[in-house]
Amino acid sequence: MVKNIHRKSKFKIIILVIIGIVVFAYLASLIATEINVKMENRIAVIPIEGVIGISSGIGSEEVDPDIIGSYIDKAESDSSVKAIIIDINSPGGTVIASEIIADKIKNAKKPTVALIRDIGASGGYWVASAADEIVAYPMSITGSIGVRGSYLEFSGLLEKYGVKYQSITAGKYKDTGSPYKNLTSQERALLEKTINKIYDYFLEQVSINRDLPESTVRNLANGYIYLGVEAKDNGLIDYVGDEEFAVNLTKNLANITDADLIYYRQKRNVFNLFGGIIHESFYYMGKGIGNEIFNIENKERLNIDLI
Amino acid sequence: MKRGDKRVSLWRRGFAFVIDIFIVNLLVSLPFRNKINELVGDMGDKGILETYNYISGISSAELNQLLFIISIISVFATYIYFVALEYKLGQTLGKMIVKIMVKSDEKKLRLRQILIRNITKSLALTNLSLLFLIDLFYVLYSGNKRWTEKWSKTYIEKVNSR
Repeated sequence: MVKNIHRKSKFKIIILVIIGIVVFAYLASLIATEINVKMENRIAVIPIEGVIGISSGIGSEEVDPDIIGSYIDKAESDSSVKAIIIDINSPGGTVIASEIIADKIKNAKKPTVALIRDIGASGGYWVASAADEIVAYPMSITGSIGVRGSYLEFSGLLEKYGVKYQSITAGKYKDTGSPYKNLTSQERALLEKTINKIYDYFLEQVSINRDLPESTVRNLANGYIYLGVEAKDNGLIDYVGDEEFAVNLTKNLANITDADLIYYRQKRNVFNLFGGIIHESFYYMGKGIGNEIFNIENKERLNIDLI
Repeated sequence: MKRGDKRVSLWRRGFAFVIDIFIVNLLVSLPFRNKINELVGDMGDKGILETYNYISGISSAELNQLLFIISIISVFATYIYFVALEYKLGQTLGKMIVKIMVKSDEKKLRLRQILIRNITKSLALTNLSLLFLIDLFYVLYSGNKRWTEKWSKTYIEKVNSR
């Protein structure tokens, strides 16, 4: 019931209610301490799910190496995390993005185990090879150590319709890989040389990561895939097993008997969406919308990736 | 009873509600801040959005359990806050700030009415928030009353509007 309440009484009632709520919450928190909320040992599980590439903005489903890197940094700095599982389900991606993640894993001071699920091929395998141990399911798809470069060439189509491509460049090979002109033998040789360099680098990294002779890796690196059981036989992975096996292996490496799994996963929510929209808006404003429009040709040029 | 000139805008009511929810959740979360720090780690150098993203990205049974306990406590604390203050004073802190109060369609404001009108408010930030939203959207149909206000025969009026 509401009467004409004196101001002092009003104040007392408010204070009493607030104190009551605080006491209630404090007593409840004491109950919460009965729950073992502090785990001494944890294993961080970091997912690599999808194509690896430097994020291209809102809606991009690519695995961003900067985000994965931040997860690894967080796991490294968290004293309760004793080891890291890299949970891979990726067909690969761009060279640079794959290397960034692989280097981050390689430089981690805590034990790392890569678990390959459906697929951990090409760039996805490069990432896995950087871990201390690799576990894959028997029928996981892995391997595919190779580099691919491709683009659609429209020169014949243009010629058929009487359309001419005019290119004005400074630098003999500036428009190499343009989809509007025929690739000359010299240009093809140049591109193949570049791709071979990337391939050699990829092989070298796998050889170092897996402690295998480069000649052995080169024999295996025909670009084709290997199933998990095959990869175990040829030394590309360490164990055939499942998630439980990978977790137990990780515990052994970290010399712990019990651990809670903590999953690092970026959930896309309305805050990400709005934050991303704002970020992209300012990015393009700074870059210049007009500049972006005139970059159309670049988007149809040669793409080199590890997929 | 003529109330035409004493109607309170939804913005004013909403603002009062936000203030109240903020106060209650602040009070409830205080005893738990150390425990959350233990589980999540030091987020002192991180902004709110980054902290939210990080916590929402972690799937830990213990953290989820703790957050669940906090939300249950928050439900009860919110209910106690609204019922106690509206029954004794006709106003919560938020309502005092925006100068509105609860009134009864009957002779006097009874505890039963207060208990009914606040049923869905405590669920606003839980998985049962749909109930609160349904209660809220009834205002669009009725003009200025939530469904629980109609049920409890109460309304909101400006202070000193007589």
